Amino acid sequence: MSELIRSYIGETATFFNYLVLYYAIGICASYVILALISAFAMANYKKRNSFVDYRSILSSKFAPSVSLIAPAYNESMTIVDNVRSLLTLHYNNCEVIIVNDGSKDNTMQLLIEAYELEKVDYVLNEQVATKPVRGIYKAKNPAHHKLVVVDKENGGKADALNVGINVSVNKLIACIDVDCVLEPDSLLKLVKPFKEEERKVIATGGVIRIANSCEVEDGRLIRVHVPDKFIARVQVLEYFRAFLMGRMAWAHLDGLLLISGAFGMFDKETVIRAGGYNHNTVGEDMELLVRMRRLMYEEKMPCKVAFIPDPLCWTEAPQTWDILKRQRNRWTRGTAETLMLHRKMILNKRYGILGLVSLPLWVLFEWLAPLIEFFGMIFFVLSAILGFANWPFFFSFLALIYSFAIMNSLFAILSFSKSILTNSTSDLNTC
Amino acid sequence: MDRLYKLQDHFADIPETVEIILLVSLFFLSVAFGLFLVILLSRLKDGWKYRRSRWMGKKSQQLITAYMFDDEWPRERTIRFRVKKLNNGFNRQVFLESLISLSQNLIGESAERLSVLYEELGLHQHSKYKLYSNSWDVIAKGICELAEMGMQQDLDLIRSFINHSHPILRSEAQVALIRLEKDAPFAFLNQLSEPLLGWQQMQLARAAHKAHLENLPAFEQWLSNEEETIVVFCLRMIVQYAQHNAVPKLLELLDHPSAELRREVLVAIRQLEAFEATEKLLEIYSHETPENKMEILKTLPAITLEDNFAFYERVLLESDRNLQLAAARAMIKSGGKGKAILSGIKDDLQHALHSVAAFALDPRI
Repeated sequence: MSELIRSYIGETATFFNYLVLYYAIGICASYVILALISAFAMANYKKRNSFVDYRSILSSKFAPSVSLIAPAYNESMTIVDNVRSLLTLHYNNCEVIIVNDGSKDNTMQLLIEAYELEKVDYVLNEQVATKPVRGIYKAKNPAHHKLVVVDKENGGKADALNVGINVSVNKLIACIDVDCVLEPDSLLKLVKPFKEEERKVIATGGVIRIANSCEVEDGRLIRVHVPDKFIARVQVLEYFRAFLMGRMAWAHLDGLLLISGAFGMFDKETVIRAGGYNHNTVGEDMELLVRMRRLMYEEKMPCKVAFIPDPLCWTEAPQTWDILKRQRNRWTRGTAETLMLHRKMILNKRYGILGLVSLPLWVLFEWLAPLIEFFGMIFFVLSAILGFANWPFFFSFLALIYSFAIMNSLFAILSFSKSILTNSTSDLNTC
Repeated sequence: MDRLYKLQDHFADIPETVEIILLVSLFFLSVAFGLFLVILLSRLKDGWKYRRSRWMGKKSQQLITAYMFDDEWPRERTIRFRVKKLNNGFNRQVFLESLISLSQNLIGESAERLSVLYEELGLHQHSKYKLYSNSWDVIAKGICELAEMGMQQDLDLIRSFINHSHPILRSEAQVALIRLEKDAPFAFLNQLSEPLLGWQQMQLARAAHKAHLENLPAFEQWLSNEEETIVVFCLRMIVQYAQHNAVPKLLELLDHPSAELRREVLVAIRQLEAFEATEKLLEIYSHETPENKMEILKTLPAITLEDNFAFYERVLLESDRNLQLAAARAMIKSGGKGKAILSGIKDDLQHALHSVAAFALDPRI
């Protein structure tokens, strides 16, 4: 190899080294800033919440009504218990809508038998277009008067949620995954921001926790354990980082782009005006929120998306590499599709902090990160084979990233331990 | 020694960038270690606080029980407790929480006795001192304590916070006034310059309910307030306390420019079963927003037994599915005649409104 080519490759390698270094510095800096903001927001939330008595919502005639929408597809193993758990949530004005999305197993049959359902002549006000509905069922037993079960043709989660929106009669809708376990007071906590803000609140979300290895009885979480499997354990930490440091900070900055599809509450009127859930993306939760926020910006209506740093919902995390890979593939594609669909907002000052900060950072550090990491690895292997690898740089860079990850994770653990509310000295035993 | 020199030379050869990266990594590791220590210490501290609060809670309960039920309880022992046990903020807070939680479940003489103990132990001064803090949450806590212990002498100080810029602090001040100002618990509504948020309204309504107020004001006096949220709150309180005298004012409010406020008025009319509103509702229906039309259709059968079937049948012909359903339900609620009309429609499978009638007639939905 001629000297000229060697020097050319060497310079290119150095250039890439620095490019990756600056990128890493950018990511680390953004994480540090978000961590500091979330710490501030968390302290603020704790202070504010120490004056809250959620019983005042429970007993108040002024409390808004909520429709809980849970799509179900092939959930025969757990559906009966999960619905029972939803029916026993602490909230007075609440209807529970289960949408059977054309399950191939006996989900529907089990529901009919367990809750003594019978078909009713329901007039559907189709505000969002959906696949055909086969039938709507109500319970004969008045004890289950809150329950509405919709049987429809298979159309995916987004379509099932849209059917739920059409069936719902209340102004607030809470969309959940039916296999999630909710905290009994989760609805009370999600409703509160809708009543306490001067600006219109269009959505609220909370912390999702991992339920692997936890003890669940009759759809209620009894005892929390650390997951047995390593993959699930790693995700516990990842969820702390994502929810307590990421989303908490973005909500404080008014730049939150995602309310987890596992559990979130929305202003129905805004959802309908935005067109409901998008059937054509695998990231329907993120896409809906971005579209709702976009609509509000375009109509020049000030709005807020609130985030509650309390654990409200527990979900099973993937326990095998294969399922994890599929989940992450879906999330990455969902992010990419949403960013593509709303690319007009990126770096557009009309969309405020969303257009100027949130979306560009998502493009840089969420969408591009896997690509950069992948090409970085290829580049390093090639450099090593061709003898251009800068080993001191490699090891020092590895040390930098690893030490930062340790610091960031410890900060997440600290955030978690501080997020547990102690309203009074007698609550200290909950820590 | 040679090896050491070689190592030193080796590090001297490291490029500057790598050196900086290593230093930053070292910094990150030091911070991580610091965070680890903080987590460890905060857990130890929480454990200590828990044990301490249990111990103090027990001591507090012993004192309170003795004070309440021992007629010959010497005052010196109270003072000794104050000097020995309540000498730091943590213990005082635990004691206060025990006192407040007991006080919430007591009324009359027993509650008054607890208030005396609160004053004798000098806790009143500590709570009052909090009201001079720069931090809104400390002030709010102080206000809560004063209200819980029924300290009416501090009303003026508490009143100065009802328009504070922090919504929670002003809410706590307003709740405290409802509890303490027995003669005119809602007089502060006249002085409000900040809106009453939905959450605050819930807190105030709950405080009023819990306080078992004897001198409830006529909430209609605030129905002409410029602040819309105060009007909404008063409408809800009018309903809660069934103040039927306010109905004429409610009828006037049906001409208010705000559609949302008019909706609240319609809800109030329905819940008060104010039949006087029938004519007005029929009159305004055509100019109303779709949401308010729905409210009118819900309200009419609740307030009147008059025959409005011609009106409902006209609405049934409108294209809005929600309004059709509301009209059908109104017909059913209006009595046997409405049911008969809808049953006829339901039985006619060819009728355009067959499904609407079937839906409305189904008692399960």
